[in-house]
Amino acid sequence: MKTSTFARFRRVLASALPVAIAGLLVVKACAVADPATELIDKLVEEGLKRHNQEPNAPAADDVFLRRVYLDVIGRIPTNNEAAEFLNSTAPDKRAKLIDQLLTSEGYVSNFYNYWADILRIKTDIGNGNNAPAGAGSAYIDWVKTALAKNLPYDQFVKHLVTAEGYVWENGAVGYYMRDAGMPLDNMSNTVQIFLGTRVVCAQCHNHPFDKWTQKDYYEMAAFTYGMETRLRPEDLIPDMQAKEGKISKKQSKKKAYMAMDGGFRKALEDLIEPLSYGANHNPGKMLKLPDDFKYLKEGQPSEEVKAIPIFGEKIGKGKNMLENYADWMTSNQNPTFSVVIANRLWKKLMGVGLIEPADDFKGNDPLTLATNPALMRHLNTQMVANKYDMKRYMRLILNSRTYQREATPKDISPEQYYFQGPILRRMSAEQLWDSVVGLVIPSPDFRKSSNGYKAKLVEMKAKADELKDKISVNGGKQIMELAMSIAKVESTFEAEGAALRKQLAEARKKEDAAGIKSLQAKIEEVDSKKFDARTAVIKEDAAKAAKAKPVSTFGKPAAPAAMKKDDKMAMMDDKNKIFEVSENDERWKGFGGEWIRASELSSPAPNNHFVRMYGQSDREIIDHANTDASVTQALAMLNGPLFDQLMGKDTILAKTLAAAKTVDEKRDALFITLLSRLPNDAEKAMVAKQVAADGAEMAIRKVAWALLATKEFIFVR
Amino acid sequence: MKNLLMQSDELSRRQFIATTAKSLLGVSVFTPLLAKGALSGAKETAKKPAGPAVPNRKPTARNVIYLYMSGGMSHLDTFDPKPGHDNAGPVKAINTAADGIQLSEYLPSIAKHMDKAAVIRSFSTTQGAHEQGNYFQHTSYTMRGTITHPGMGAWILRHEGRTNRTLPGSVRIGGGANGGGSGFMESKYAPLIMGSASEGVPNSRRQVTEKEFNDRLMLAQQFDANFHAKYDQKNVRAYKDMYDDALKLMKSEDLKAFDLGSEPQAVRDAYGNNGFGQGCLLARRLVENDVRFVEVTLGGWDTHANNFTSVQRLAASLDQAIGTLINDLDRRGLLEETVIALATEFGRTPRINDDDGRDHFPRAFSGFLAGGGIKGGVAYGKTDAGGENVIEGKILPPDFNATIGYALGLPLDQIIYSPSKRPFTLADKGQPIMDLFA
Repeated sequence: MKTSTFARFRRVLASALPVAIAGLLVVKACAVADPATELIDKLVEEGLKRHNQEPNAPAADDVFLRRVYLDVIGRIPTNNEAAEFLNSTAPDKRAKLIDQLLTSEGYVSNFYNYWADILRIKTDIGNGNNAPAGAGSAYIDWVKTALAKNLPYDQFVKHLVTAEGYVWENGAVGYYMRDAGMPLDNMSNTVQIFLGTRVVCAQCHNHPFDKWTQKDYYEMAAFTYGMETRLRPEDLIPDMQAKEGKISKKQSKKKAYMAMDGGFRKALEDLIEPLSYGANHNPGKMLKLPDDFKYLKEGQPSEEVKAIPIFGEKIGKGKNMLENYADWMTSNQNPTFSVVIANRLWKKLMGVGLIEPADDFKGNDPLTLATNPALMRHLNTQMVANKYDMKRYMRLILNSRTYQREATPKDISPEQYYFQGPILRRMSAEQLWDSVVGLVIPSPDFRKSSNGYKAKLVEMKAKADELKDKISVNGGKQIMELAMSIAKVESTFEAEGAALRKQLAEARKKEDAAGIKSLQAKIEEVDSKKFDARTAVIKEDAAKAAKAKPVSTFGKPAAPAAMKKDDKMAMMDDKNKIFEVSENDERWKGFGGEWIRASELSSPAPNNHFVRMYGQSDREIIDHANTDASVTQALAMLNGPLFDQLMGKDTILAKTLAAAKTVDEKRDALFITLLSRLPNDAEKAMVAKQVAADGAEMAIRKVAWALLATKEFIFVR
Repeated sequence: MKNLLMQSDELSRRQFIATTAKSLLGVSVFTPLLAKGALSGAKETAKKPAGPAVPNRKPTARNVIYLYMSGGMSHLDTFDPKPGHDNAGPVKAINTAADGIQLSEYLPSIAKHMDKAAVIRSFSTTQGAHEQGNYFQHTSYTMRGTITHPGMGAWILRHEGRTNRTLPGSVRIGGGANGGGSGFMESKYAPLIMGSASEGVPNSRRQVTEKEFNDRLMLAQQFDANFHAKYDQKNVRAYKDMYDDALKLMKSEDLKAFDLGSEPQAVRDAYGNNGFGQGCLLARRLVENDVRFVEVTLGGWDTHANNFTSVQRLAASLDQAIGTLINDLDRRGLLEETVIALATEFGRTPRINDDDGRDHFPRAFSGFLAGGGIKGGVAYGKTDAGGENVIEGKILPPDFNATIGYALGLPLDQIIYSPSKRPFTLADKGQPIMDLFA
């Protein structure tokens, strides 16, 4: 069954290739559409005809303008941006705007939000996972950098699923750290996100309606089961085995290590802690079937399983298991990989996918699931032909007549929707917040948060390098000896402390208040002596090392020069140029630090933040954002502080109003700034009536509030 | 069920408020007030799988006040004292109103009510870290990367709906949002989260003159006329309804439930002038107004160092608030229909550490239940002499939640499917502790 789906898919792919090559010849932005775009429209229109439907009317410039800003850079256009486009008479102004937006800074913010929801990215990745502070931020930066560099999607996925190394050299390790201790769940999420396949039921049992068995599940999970997100001493120190002589092959390294003296282990773990913050794949760590495995024809309880892909053929010939996993997943031969992303991005722009849900293909040939299979095939071909360049792919859609039509006015059902145009959508929480931020501060796309995590990472890296130097000498003999010396000097104090604590327990029983107090003081003294002794041992060791090896970097303060620039590090450096830290920038002087785009807030934003109220994902489950109405939103709009903040001194909105001289100009400025269009005659009359009743200032205030509260403001037409 | 009958008088007023209110604070139409029991299982719930129905007894409780001791409450120094043992440290035990049950000297008020309450001394959990432990305690499921599970408040609403349709169905005071949210269920089942008891419902008061307020609304409506005419869609209508509902709520009498200022100062003082005490007072007011699940958090129990100083201080707030709450509910006839439940993520190491503190201890800890049909004067389960092992009646968090669910008469075996089509029940495999019911 598996292979037949697969083979069929390959044939489909082959037949579509000539079109793909044609699509590669991208014509420079001009009024003449790309043939691949033409074909999108042709296939959509044929699909509509088959179902006796007419496409929607073309969207007017103002409608297109607002929509494309929100879809590509995640906020409404500013007054100036709107005016520039609406006043332009260039025949290719839409294509030009699309290109401009795709290469702009706001693109990164908008698509970071999109991926953060899918990947469940959290700033505080720690949650008991023993990840260091900063691991989440490094992961976030990695994703933003990938988007800024327009890293092709297949590379993006490959980097994530093969991520190894330290947090400071490869932020992508966040992909595994996010699911530390849950390797099976991580695999379920991976195949759901990237392969549109849900296997989670098979984790516990063979499901009657799914094709995947529990054994299939375990075989798939075996690829990444060995991913360790906390490096352990016995793995880090090569000399551990020789030194102790206790570790035989039969006995696992970990077991042997755990049998060693507790004081020594604690000292060692403290010493090498900075080295443990990484992800490392251990191919020797074997996954076993659960001990209550019931399907005895397929395997035995607790039996070790081999890594076998859940569908298709094992095609990876890479260096190791992880590479094989990634190669298989991202291969053009994989039956779902490219379809998933082609469909996802179509959905991102049109509001609904050709295949819904976009991540649950139920093991079927995805093309048979699409509402317009020919279109899905064409889009898939374009995704592959454009080598997974997401911007180029989206550009084809954005330039289509289909995208540039009016939104469909009625409720639709995804399984019977043939794309008369995009559907009407409520802005995402992030789009709404970012639009608000754009009403307050200038250059909203460029204001970045800085949580100081980079300094932390640099510090950690310096410490880790120092440790690596040490370990590289004599297989870690020196550091083991140091740990032993520490354990030795501490042990005398520990005995003393234990005796005192016993006395303390006695004193407590007798309720001897004075005795308790003096014993507590003594214990504190012993503890501080213990600490001093440890510090002295470490200092002595450092002095010895400095003498023995004068050229060593050891002992020097963390300096940028100490950082070696491998590829991944270079990526981070590069990133520093793109996202300069902007705390003291003149542009935002006087504006509170809270006025930053959603992509710069913590992930997820705090519970009581605007974006959470409007449905930002809690980043616990894949695609968990919602656009539901709630009374708390209405109450916030009716009585919350937001409106006064927007109308406050020196905000963009206030300045725009101040710059407009007459009441009519102010009215028009408000409509353009908030709704990206001019008022119609009826609306002009309403405003005039209000002005007559209240005078200009109060009337304009009321109009501003009312426009913000309209459905037109929060829905994307 | 005295209160229940009283409410029927108010029904017409409530219905008036609620008829057009389809989604107040995110929650939509539910089974009617008096249908509980008679129509158990709202029509929204999934079909019960074939098989014998579990004999769910008549509910003994309607409401839950859930007190969460965040950080991991030391069992030895509160509900499971070990006088004379080395592990006890300086803490003594005192006699209570229930023969043969002793509590820590830090809990004198609760001790006076012990004849109306049950302590559980045989709690155990599989989770030793805060977030995971908290999650397990709140949801009966361990934390997964592929799903989030709903908490008790969401389960109650999912099975039976709200009683008071202008107020939120469940409220969480002073705690974070970890565990106990709506999980995989729709967001309308999520609790209203309040940072503190005194802040009231956020943004429920008008900030401008009535005229300005009304003019703004009228203009917005006029500007939207074309949009509404063109886009007659579900979500657009939902936003229109939402404004109507918000306006109704602003005028609602029930909002007063959130106003602690209308309590006599003596009552406020009796609960304790701290966040937890005021939270318990608000919980009582909400329960009185048919909010069925109120959670109040008391944080700070993570006493790795100076355990005894901290626990003494925390226990003082706890003791005062619970003592007053039991009294107050009892006096109002609400104790018999309200379960007070106290839980924490894990206990603390019986052995006192170097810093005079206690560390995480998932193996054995304590909980507390009172009211809502829970038998009084009961000490359920036992730990050994040093409080280190459960030696009798071991229960896990799902059993505790099943006990609460059982008291409410909720269908413990009724499967609700997640959107990803996975089956879940209120307390997973937990079994109610039948010994706690008369």
